[in-house]
Amino acid sequence: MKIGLVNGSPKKKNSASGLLLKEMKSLLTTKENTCQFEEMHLNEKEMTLEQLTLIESWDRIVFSFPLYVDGIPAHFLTCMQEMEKHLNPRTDGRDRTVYVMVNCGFFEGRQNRLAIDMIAHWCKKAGCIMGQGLGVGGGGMLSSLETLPPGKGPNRNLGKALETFSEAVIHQQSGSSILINPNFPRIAYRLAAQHNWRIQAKKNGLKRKDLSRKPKIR
Amino acid sequence: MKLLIHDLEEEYLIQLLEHQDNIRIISKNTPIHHCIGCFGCWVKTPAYCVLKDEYMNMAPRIAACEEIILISQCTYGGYSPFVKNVLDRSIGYIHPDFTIREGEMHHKRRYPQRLHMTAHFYGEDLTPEEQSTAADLVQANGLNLDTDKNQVFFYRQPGEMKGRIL
Repeated sequence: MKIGLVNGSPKKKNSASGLLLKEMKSLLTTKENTCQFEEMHLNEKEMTLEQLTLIESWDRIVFSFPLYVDGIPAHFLTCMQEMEKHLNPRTDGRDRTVYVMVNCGFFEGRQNRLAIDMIAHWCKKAGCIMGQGLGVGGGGMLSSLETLPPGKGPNRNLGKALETFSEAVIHQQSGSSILINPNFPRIAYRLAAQHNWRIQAKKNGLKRKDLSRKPKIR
Repeated sequence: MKLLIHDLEEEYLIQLLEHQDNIRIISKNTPIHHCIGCFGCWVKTPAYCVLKDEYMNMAPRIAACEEIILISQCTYGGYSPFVKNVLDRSIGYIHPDFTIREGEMHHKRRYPQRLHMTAHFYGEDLTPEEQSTAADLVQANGLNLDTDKNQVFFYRQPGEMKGRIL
């Protein structure tokens, strides 16, 4: 089976979307050794004909992107439109099934639900089958995946979700969205995130009160 | 003052408007960079996007308005790429710190005022599911921006909006 892994993060490196794809690839490889992977990072608005052609050959597509303003990041939305125009129904009678992982900086995974719905609507227009969506909250903590595997500590829910999600990908099944929060107190997550903003602001030569500037342009 | 962000040809939009008083229009007249997720608009140049183009000061422009009006082709139950791009580049309007609203984590307001938000979606072949997602999207955006009023309208053709925008 040929599985396309598409990273829709605008970040060139160290994206949470990329980390989720890395975990998914690792799980899929462990479960099914016949998986063939092709990977693509769409961090610009433009897609090459080569990229569009490559996608045509995939049985399963796994998209991974960050939530932007309750939806799909604009550059990736442009790519989705390009893919919709280019993808034709498969002539070999096989289905093309789409899976999507959306991560957000908010604590609650359910805040990704509308972006997942948008991918389901895209599937209908692009002649694909919607497989399953995974909405991951607490994206600010996903960098912990580099030292703490899924299934451990704050990533316990994520571990279970990736397990279920990867099974759906392998068996080309469809299912309702999985929306998960980190296993970590929300108040602690919130305070840690806010502390991090202040550290970054300080590095940029700003004072704490500068974060609350209120410029207006009439 | 009202701020209108749209994806139509500007000349065509002008024909649809009741008047042009007290309104700022954001059109796709010049190239727009896409948000790169750097959070510079929160921790480097608060409220301003660090990417230099005509859309780098969206947050201070929104802050000078009472209402934000969006006119967009409905795309998979969301905004079209240009309108979404402008919104992605506008997150400096909210504060990086969090608060809890309706049981969910959202961003605090940067500015004291509360906006009205109205979205006019158009598209010929919109499914009920896409319309439902778009309506929920505007509610979700409103919750995050902490607007005081949200409205959503759907049309088959942009021409049907004539006289119904302001």
